[in-house]
Amino acid sequence: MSQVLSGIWAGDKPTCIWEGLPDVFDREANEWPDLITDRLTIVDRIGWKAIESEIVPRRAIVVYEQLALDFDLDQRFRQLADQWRAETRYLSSLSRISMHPAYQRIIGLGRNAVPLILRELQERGGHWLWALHVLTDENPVPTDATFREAVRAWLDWGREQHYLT
Amino acid sequence: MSIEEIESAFPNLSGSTWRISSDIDEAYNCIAFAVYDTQQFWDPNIVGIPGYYWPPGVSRDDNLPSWMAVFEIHGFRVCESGDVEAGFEKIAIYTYENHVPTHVARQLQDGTWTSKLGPDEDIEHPNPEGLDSIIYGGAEVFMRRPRADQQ
Repeated sequence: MSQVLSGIWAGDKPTCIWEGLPDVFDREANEWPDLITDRLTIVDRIGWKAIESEIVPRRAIVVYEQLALDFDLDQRFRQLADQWRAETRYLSSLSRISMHPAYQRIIGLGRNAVPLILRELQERGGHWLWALHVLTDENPVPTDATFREAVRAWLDWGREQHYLT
Repeated sequence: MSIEEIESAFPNLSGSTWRISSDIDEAYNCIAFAVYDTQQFWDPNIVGIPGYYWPPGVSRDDNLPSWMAVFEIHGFRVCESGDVEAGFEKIAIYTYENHVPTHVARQLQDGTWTSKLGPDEDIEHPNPEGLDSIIYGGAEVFMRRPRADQQ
């Protein structure tokens, strides 16, 4: 099972109009044509596949297909994240918080879970630093950062990588 | 969390005069809160991932001796009970039956206790037994130090 979606860029200052794609694609574009390359990279990264495309200066039409499995990813993440929060809310030990089966299953979802984790971190907070570090092999946080500073650094990184708007 | 949710997790609080004393703040945990640090999350297990703190020189074994060593650095010494002693501030370290530490509560000047519940709120509770539960086990070790205004 699959779903076909389309996106159009048009106008002097291109604005991206998507139907059905995650919010990360809805922000205004300021650069052209690098924007197209950037967005296609993001699309590839989270599992969307371009099946038809017409990209010319000031106009682009791309049709994307995403497998049903990827739609399930969002739902699966939500389920696991809610379970993890409910069952670790009183714990003080990071090892017990992070070794919780639901947290480990989220890590098991692989790199495609990174945009979902970043969005969760942005909207609801949470101790996601370990998962982000493991899944991205990145470390955008200064060594002596506090937890709040570390969260800010990861969210900044997420914006730089176009995972977040 | 709601009062009902907390009392469901910690049934001994039901019927006592406990209260939620802060908003949710996941930036610090009970160990940090016990020594008045509300800026850092203290944990021995996380190495190489910035955002977490553990005192330099203290073993990163997540066991009772390591937790006690943290508080010894801050002037606490083992004492017999959580009873009020004039001029002293006390903490209670909770453990499971296998002595694995789970939580720390701090005694307030009026003899009541305060705790940070994981990444969630701080609460004030009348005695250490209020948090005895399958989540935290029970208070196994009490430590004390002279209150700052007594030094």
